[in-house]
Amino acid sequence: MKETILILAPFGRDAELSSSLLNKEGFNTKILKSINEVTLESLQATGALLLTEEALTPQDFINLEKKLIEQDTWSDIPIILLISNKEQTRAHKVLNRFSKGNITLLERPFGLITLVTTINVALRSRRRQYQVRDLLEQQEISLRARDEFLSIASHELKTPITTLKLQVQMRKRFIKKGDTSVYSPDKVNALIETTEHQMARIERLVDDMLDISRIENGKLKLQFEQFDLGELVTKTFYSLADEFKNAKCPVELDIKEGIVGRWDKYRIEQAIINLFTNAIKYGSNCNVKITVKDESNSAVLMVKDEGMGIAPDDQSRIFQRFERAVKGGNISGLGLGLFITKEILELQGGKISVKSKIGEGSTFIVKLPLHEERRNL
Amino acid sequence: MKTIMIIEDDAAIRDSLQELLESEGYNVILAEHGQVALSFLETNQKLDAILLDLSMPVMDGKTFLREITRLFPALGRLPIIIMTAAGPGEIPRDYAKERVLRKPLDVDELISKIEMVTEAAQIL
Repeated sequence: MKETILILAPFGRDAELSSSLLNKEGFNTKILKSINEVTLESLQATGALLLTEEALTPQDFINLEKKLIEQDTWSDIPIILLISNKEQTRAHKVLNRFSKGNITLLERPFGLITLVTTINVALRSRRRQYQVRDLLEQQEISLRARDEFLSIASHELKTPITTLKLQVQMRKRFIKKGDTSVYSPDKVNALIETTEHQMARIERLVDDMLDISRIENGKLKLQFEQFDLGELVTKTFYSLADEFKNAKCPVELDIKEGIVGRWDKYRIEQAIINLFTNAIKYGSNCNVKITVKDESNSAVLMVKDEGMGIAPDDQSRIFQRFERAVKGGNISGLGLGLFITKEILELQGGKISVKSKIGEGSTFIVKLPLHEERRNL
Repeated sequence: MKTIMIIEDDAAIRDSLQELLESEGYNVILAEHGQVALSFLETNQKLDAILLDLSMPVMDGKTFLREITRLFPALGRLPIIIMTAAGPGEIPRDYAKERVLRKPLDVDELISKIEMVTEAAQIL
């Protein structure tokens, strides 16, 4: 339909003739009985209009003009209007009427090559219009996603800020009341600890937001170094051991040491943290198993939880931007963790996948290339 | 001593609120989401007010509001103050302004709202 030419001629036979002529030249055509058959919708979905002036009454021109004005911003349908060379004055009138339209007048008689090239030019410009339409649609979708992201991000930032504000204002209130226990080492230490913890949350959120923008602009820089994956996984686990404990997740470690490769250590650690915090977030009160092993030229990390699990439809969606399987704002976070994880693994020639069943839990499997030359960099 | 129940999923906010309210002389009960709060109410309904976060896992604030009305109609007069970081769209329509707190919370506003609703409840 996008490439179809709508033809209107005074006599059905004329229309059929030009139609079959154009078909032979490789164009798609559709014959109109009246210009009033053209709706705004079909007009916007069509490649071009080929009209004959004698087939149009003055009212037809008015109706057509109305539809041309109603077109969406991107659409400016090309019109090729065939006129008789005896009617120069009318031709001028027509041109005046459509001065803002995308119209070409072809004065008869003309050769087939004139018509074919004119239609080619029309379809070419029409194709560009469809490209503009698609770009506008994409832009609108990404703008909407960005708006939503900004609103989620500010919501998420408000949580640690709430604690910081409560802590500070509460102490101000105590001081005002003359309560000097505020200055006791215990209270000061507790405040420092809370503040540090909440600042780390803010920092993580801001880092994620920056990573997203770096990934989108292709500016995420990696620094490769040689290290033992098992060692890093064990170290990262111990740094989060308290959080696993608080979430009541008994953890089984099955780590093969000596799996050494050249990857970006900081980014791999970030990926490991993301997977661990997801297991804590979605699998609280359940067993977690962390495995590191090697498997034909790949280093493999598996994080298995026995939490809520992910529905099959959601399993590919969770790796996209701003997505999480659970909707409705009940789980905190930006919904960026797995997207960032996937991006940073793929940049190093690695990949991530998930196996999951609702109610039984999820296993995230990371594979990293063991030999640098295999990397597609 | 007046008793306030705090329903909030974020542990740091929950603990800070507990510290604040206890220092103001309230007895504090904590619940990490709506479901925990409802099970508590099954055995004990001696409360003077509830501080309710809206966005929580398992059972969010809006569901809790519906469920408490359904399961405990006798608590119809119990003041519930909503805490939210989201825009106006998240707050149930017609919810009294004086029973809404926006995050980040302001301590003075929080205390004065709690005082106001618990005193008003006593007069009733």
